Amino acid sequence: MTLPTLEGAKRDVATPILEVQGLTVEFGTRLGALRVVEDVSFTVAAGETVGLVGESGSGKSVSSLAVMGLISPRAGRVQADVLRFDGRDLLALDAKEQRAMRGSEMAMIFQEPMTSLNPVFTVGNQIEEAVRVHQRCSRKQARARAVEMLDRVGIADAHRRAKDYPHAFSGGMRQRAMIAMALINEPRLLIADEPTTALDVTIQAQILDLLRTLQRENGMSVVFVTHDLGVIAEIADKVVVMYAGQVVEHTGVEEIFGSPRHPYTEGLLSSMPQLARPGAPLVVIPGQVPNPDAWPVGCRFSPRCVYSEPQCDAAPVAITTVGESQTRCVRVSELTLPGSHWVALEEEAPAVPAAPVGKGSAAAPDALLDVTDLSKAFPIRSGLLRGVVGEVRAVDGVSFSIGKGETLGLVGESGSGKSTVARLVLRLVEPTAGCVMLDGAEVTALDAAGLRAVRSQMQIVFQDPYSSLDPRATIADTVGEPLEVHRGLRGGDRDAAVAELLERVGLSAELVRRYPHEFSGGQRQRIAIARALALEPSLLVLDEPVSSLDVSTQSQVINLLMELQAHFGLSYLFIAHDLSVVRHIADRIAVMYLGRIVEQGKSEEVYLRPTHPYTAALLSAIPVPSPQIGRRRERMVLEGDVPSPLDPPAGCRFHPRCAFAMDICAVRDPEPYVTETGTVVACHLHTEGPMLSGRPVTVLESKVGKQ
Amino acid sequence: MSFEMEPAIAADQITDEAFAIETGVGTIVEDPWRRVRRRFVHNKAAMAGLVIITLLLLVAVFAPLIAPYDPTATNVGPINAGPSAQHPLGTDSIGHDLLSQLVYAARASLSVAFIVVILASLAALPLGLTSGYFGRWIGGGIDWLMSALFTFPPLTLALAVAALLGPSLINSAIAVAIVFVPGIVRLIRSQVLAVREETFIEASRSIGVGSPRMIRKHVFPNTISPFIVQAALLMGYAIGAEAGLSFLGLGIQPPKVSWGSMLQNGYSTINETQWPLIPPVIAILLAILSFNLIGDGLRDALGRESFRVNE
Repeated sequence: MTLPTLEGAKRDVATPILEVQGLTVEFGTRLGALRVVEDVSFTVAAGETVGLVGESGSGKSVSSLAVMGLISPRAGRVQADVLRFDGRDLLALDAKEQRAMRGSEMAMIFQEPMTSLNPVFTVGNQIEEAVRVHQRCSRKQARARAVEMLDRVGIADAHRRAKDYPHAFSGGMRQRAMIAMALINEPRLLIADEPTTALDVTIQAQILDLLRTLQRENGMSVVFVTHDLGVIAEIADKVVVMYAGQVVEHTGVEEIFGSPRHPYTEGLLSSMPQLARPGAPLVVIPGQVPNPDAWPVGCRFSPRCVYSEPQCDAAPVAITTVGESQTRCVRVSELTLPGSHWVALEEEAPAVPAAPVGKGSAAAPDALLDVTDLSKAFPIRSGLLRGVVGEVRAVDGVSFSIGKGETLGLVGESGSGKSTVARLVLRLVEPTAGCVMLDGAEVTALDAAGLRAVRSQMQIVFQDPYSSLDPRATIADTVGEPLEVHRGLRGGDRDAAVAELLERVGLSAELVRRYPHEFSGGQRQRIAIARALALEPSLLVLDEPVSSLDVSTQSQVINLLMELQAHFGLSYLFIAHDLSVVRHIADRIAVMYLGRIVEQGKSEEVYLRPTHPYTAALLSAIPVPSPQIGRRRERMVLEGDVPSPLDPPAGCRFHPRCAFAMDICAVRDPEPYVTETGTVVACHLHTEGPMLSGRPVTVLESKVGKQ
Repeated sequence: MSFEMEPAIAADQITDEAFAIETGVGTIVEDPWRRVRRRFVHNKAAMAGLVIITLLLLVAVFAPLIAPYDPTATNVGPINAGPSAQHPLGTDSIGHDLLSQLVYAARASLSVAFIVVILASLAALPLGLTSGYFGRWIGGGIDWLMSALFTFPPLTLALAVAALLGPSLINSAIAVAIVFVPGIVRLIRSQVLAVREETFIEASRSIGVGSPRMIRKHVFPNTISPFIVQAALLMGYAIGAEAGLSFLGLGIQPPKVSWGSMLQNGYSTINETQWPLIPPVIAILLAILSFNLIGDGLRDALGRESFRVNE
């Protein structure tokens, strides 16, 4: 519906900076025009943040690209009843006018900071260019602006760092540089497309803080595109939930978490691991997001909806407006859906259990896997003769054990060495020192033949289901490979076994002749799990198995893993950066920082009562699915980046970033200390700390704990 | 220092495949080989190349039916004559019928092209695969050897080999094949080095798959597409190289003819008539151009999207 506009009318504060009504985007494909975004409407007021939420394929990124005018007419067709920015019709602008507007009045930041900067120019140069494209000023002035902006986005020593090339910047710093570039012309609207998805949680917390601060200072509006409802709770004022190219719900952030009106929103919320009781199966949205060429005629969510009725499938569903909220659901007036019960869940957390105090209480009884003092130093070669000039100590003296049927969660940010630990345990990488015992056999001492035999006992599932399956091999070949290699199964026997495995992981046995590219991410991860299970291993190493999956698929795979564990009595080494996922699935948690385990204990203990400042900071950085609490709580935001493992800090490796650091921390390595709840922690606060600093250790808890 | 340049897809260059990869939307499922065939068939230039090569092959196979005269027979008509009804392409200085010669020469020239590429591949594939797959010593050693071969100017190397083996059709093929080996080894090696780092290789290793099976089942199939492109392009180069060697007298020996030896004959009488040079030149150009068109078409059809290791 196009309403007549009063040209030249005075715009008051309530006039939206961005108005989108009936936005439709079609792409020409070989199979004809494919409509990937349909009838999307939302408005962004001045100074407001609108969150655009959805899984991959929901059309959220395409919608934001369309608003930016970044979809060329050759590739796709953008239509809208209204697409107005600051009162101007965006669709009526020619290419030159659009270019002038992009980067000056509206700017965009992208997900991948690693590829968004040009590696052959210095960071300062690239920001300068952004100034000079839109403003008439000298190179010197532009340089001064660039440095000033880099300083504002929190790049220390901005004057010097502006002369660095992008490769000298860490991921978080590159994203800061991208933000500096986007904001240098003081745009009125910033479109941020998953700007923190590729970053660690502690860096994500920094970036979100930064965006909030800059937004307050400039009064700019933000469209924040993300799949993470926790981030939405932190930053958005209004939320647009998208599913299969349509807006299904558009409402305020409090309403989304307090009283969602669309079953899909509710499904997304309740499948968050933070909102489930630890150990219980996660709520799952069955099935997967359909492709645009297979969208249902009626309600597009209906095939996956628990509240679906025949009337839902009859005809396309129009959006209903109730008060300030809009919902695209046939049954919107009859359904009352539960919201986020995160607060209640946190309050019912168990009290401190009486655990035996003493040595080794964190070790598992009846250990299947025993890892002692595992270390890996990668040599750094340089020069003409490729001589060794140094080493990266990726893993430095790591010890843990996993009991039969137990899950140990290994948590850490990128660069902590957790994935190297996974490969060391399996001896996919040869350790420099240390010992790995699996069920009484010393894995680290085996010869090639012995190693091959023991590999049937332990298997690994990798993070990226796209690169972990050979694109040229059929599913039967991939899943059947361990059976061929170890059991000599061939032809029909092998295929029968593969079919059984596929059904075990919830896939149809008819898929054996297909190739990996025909499957979605979640399905591929199931295939990888089937391959890992083929030899009936006792230990499964799961290296970030769900972090590249969509929210709804993620909970399906976690549930599958928990079922398989219960059924086969498997032990898991579950590696992840997401503490809330790990808390859900793991019995015990080990937290790694710069190649060392800093804290290890029962998962509820570690999660609710962290004893190491790093664990506390990690927990505090996780966005909370509750806007009221998320914004009020006091957070421990870590400064800076993880130092390079090439030259780790002396003493406690965390001390340069630690809010509780004492003199001794810079000098001496902390010894492991067993607390009364059985958590093993390597931190001076628990031994020297309270006496030297005069601050009790419980400070940690009050800093992170509930408000 | 080297920069890895992999620009994000510019938003105004979104094609349907790129779009699907970027967004995960509309990933249209199609068998990769069928997609390759569809793209190749839609490429007019590549199809033209394929048609010409097919025609040339048919001519070579059915040479006895097409050639009006015995190609070795002399004085079948007037010497140094232009085209006429009896001799559509004329005759040379000793009265060979040029059409008959051209038709039979296609046999020699085309078969040399195939023999060269097959020989070079047989030697280079195992070398490339092992040098890429096995780390520092074996890989480095093979690579060093290839670098040494590379330092010879190609024509000099081919001349030396051909001279050493003695002039004949098969020896000239061997000489050209040796010149081609280091290029293919390098190509395969670089591809293997990339594939080796893929997670699915690590996944197979974690299962206990040994090196021979790994190379056969996982590495080789993922290196094949750039190799196919290269093979098509090398066919063209091989025809040129054979022509060069034969022109210098190191290739096919009379009374047999190839396009290269026809050039030599024509060149020797260039002061009397230029006519005999024209048919073999056109044949050589046509064949090289067609193989290049096919190679380019294959490269586009096998493009990044359809055979990216990491699709």
